[in-house]
Amino acid sequence: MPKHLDDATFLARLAAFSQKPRPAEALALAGLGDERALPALVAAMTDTMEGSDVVRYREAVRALASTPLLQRWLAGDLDARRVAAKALTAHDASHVPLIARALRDEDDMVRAIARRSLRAWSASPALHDLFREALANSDPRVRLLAAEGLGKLGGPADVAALNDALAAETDDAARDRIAWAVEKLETDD
Amino acid sequence: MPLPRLNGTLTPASAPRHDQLFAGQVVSMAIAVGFDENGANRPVDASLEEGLLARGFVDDPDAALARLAAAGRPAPQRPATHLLARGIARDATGGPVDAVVTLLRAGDGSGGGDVASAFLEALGRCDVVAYGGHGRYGTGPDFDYNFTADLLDEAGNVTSSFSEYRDLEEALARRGKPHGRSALAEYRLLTKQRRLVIRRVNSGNLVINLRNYHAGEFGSHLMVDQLQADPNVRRMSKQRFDKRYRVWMFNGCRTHDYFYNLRKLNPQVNAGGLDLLGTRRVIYWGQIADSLLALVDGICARDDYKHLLARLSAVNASDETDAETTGPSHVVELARRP
Repeated sequence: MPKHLDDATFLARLAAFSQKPRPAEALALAGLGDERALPALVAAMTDTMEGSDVVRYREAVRALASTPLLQRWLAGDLDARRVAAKALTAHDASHVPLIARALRDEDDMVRAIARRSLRAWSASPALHDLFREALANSDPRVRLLAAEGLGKLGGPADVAALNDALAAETDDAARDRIAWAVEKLETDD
Repeated sequence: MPLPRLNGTLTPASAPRHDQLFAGQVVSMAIAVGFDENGANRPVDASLEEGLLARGFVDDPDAALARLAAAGRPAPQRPATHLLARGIARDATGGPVDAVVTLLRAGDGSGGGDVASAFLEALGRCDVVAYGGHGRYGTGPDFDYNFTADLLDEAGNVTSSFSEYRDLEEALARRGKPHGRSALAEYRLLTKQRRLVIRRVNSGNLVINLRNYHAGEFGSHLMVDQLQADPNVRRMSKQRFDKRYRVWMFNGCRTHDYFYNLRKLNPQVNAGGLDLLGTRRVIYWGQIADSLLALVDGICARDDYKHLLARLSAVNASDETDAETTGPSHVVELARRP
């Protein structure tokens, strides 16, 4: 159950954290359940380069950024969408529809962040469907990642879609990966 | 037995050899930004260019290349952004010195191998070269992704895929915990069982060092394992450089890890004098652009090393409450003075 602070105290703590992030405070802020902390938590997570703090910042972001919250932020203004996109992970099946939405965002940075999330995932039916859909994405880098994902978690039923994508593909790197996926799924069969 | 290393010094007594750096009234610099799996390098790319433009550099590649040619400096051989600032520094007699900066950026990592090649070329060609990005656990600069790791179930189906150390570490720690195994122990077990299949991506890596100075950190083992197993990896110790004075700064986490190998394993690059700047602790992406720009400022202002370190520390604030970020950020390891 989130604790409650008066607004002035919360904002002072948030400002102090933004100035000097610390993992323990990140977890404490996340525990307060106030979504205004999300930009600062995401900034701390992405700014940290090496060391043990990174994992704790990620925990804090995950603790605060529930799927409904991310859904709302991804429907918000540009700053909100860029922050929310950084909290998306394809290891969580409930994020997959949000990633699909972010891949179609009008802002190229949101799309780029969503694209990166396709590099790390856990298999789920929703993700499989996203990879199928993303074979037709306008960005060849997305099509490449979709083919790679489908080659890894797909099955014989995906071969026809991959062959169609291969016939239509104009990008060399994406075509290579689609061909790899076709070959892999045919071999696995 | 402790691993051999050079820590550098916080109290250097000398200065860069500006007479050599500024020969022909021009200084040639290259600034490179490495790659981050979460895209944290992208804002640095933009800030760096903005910072240079704000300092009076202009994006005029023809003029920049003509200036290098006029000074008898080698021409860049690979595509990059070249900026020129006229009269941004002064030589010992007060004469104007122009600066040409070559900007190299990993961007989305898709051309990391090419950027790494351009960086290598710049290390040979330029008077001053700086890298800002991941230190990769002491192994060297990096301009692209490092690996994909697929976790398989007992039937051989891929259940999860990873492309970032910390992501994989978390999953392995979670998986190993019920069995009393650490992330590293789980990694060793699963790779042995061929249930963790790793495809290395090393074209953007430049290997300086393969000793593991951070054996307590999971990512270091994965990093070193993948580089050690790659027969095609580019090693700095195998590169050929001509004999001349250079200043190199590696602005990633704990890059003093690089010093020993750069000094001991590459006699050619040391023959003409090589001054090294690196970090002695963890740093942050948000401070990389300012650090790289601080180096440009310090070189152009003819800082001695003491002032250059102070300039770098000023943009990488010490946090006395955090063991990993306490104290001055940078150190120098100087070539022997004649």
